[in-house]
Amino acid sequence: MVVREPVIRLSHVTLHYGKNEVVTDVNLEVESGETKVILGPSGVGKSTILKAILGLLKPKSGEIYFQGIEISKLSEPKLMQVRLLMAMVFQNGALFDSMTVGENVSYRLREHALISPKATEERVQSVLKFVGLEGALKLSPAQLSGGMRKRVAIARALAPYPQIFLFDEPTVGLDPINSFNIEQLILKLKERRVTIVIVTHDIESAFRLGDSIVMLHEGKFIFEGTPEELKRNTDKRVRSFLDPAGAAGLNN
Amino acid sequence: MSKIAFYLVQNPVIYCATLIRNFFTVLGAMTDFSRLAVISIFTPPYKRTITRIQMNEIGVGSLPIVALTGLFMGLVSALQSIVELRSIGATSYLGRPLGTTIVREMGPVLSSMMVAARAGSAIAAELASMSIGEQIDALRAEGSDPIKKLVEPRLVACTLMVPVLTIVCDLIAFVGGSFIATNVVQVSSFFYWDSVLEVLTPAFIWGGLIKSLVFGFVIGMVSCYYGMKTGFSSAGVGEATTKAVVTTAISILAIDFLLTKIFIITWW
Repeated sequence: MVVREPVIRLSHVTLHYGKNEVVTDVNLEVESGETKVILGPSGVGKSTILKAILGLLKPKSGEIYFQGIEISKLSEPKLMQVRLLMAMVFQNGALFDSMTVGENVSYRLREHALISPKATEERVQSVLKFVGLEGALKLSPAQLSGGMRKRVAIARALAPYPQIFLFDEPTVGLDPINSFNIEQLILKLKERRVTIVIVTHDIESAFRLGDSIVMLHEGKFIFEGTPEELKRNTDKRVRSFLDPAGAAGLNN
Repeated sequence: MSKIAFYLVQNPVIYCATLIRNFFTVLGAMTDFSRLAVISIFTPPYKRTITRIQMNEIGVGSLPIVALTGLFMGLVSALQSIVELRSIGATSYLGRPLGTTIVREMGPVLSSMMVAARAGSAIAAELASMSIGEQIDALRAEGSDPIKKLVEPRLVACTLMVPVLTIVCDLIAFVGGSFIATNVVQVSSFFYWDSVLEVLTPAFIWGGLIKSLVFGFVIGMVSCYYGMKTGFSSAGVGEATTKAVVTTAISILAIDFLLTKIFIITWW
C-alpha cells in the first residue's frame, strides 16, 4: 500500500516572536488539491503559521515538511528555492510601492527569469484579466483601492504558476462586494484543484471556501474537520467563536 | 521624572549593566548584518541598476546640502583661524591651518553627518515602512534576498558617494576660505591657494578619503540595519529613523577619533 505524503505537514510545531510563544505544539496536514482553512480570532497565531510554512519564521521546535522534505532546518538560499513553489497573498497585499501593478505582478517571473520577456508580458495580461484588472497595468499601488490591491496581490501570486497558495485574511477590511469578488477568485482557483491554505477569522467565508477547517484557539488547534462537522461541534470554545451571542445566552 | 531617570536613581548598577548588555547585543547583531551585506556585495548577481539609482539619490541628492555645509565650514574656519594668526602676524599663511583641518577632519566628518541626516534617515524610514507593510516579507516570499535587493545597493552607494561628496565639500570650503582671505585680510588669491596646496600631502588627502569611505559604509550599514529591524507599529518608522541618525552620528565621531589616532601613529 502506498502512503501519500501530504503536501504540507507540521509536526509538533511551536512558534514564537522574541520571548512570546504564539503557537504551541501544533500538527497540521494539507493534502494535494485541498483547500484548508485555519480559522480563529485575531491574534492567536494564524498568520504566524502561514509565515512558518513559507519559511519566513523558523519554529522553536517541531518540523515542517513540504512535499516530504523537511524545510524548517533548511538554509536561507535553499528556502528561497522552496518558496518559488508557493505563493502568498498578504493581509494588506504587501505590494511593492516603488513598482507599477505590472511590475509587481511580473516580479517573480522577471527576477528569476522563469519565462521569456514576451511570455511574461502575456502572462501578466492573462492574470490581470483573471482578477478583472486588465486596465491597471501601469497604475502604482498608491492609486488602488483596498479591494484592487488584494486582487493585484492575487494576480502576483498566480503569475508564476505556484503549486500552493497561502492566503492571509483574504477578505478582511473589504466591503461585501469586494469580499464576494475575492471569494469568487479563490473558488475559481479551487476549480483548478490547486492546494490552498487560507487563514481567516471570517466564519462565513471559511464555510464557503474550505474543504476542511482547523480552528486555532490560544495557540493550539482545538478542532479539525469539515465545515459541516464544525457547525455541529459542541465544544464551548468553538461555540463561543461561531456564535458568541448564543454562547453568552443573549439569543432570544 | 522620566522612566530612564527613574531607573537610574532606583538602581544605577542594574541600569548601567542593562545599557552595556544592550549595546553589545546590538553591536553583535550589526556585525552579523554587515557580514551578510559584505558577502552579498561580492557575490553575483550584482544589482548595478538599483545601485546607480541609489548613488544618484544619495550622491546627487545630497550635493546641495553638502556644498552649503562646505561653504559655511570654509568661511567660519577661515574667520576663526584669522583671529589666531593675527596675534602672531601670520595671516598670509591662512591656507595652512585650513588645508589640514578641512581635509583631515572637518570635511569628512561634517559631510558624513549631513549625508547621515539626509540620506541615512531616508533609507531607515523607507526600509522601516517597507518592513511594517510586509513588503520585506513579500520580497522573501517571492524568492528574493532582501539583503541583496535592498541593503547591498544602498550600502555600496553610501560607501562610494560619501568620499565624492567629501571632495566636493573640501573644495567648496577652500573657496569659502579664499573669499575670506582675499576680502577680510587681503591675502592674494595665489598666495592663499599656494599655502593650501603646500600642506596637502598625499597622506592627508588619502587619510581624509579613507575616513569618508568608512563613514559612508557606517551610514549605509546602520541606516539599513535599523530600517530592516523595525517593529510592527507605525511608531516604528520614527523610532528607526531616530536610532539610525543618532547611532550613525555617534559612530562617526567615535570612529573619527580612532582613525585619527591610528593615522597619527602610523602615517601623518
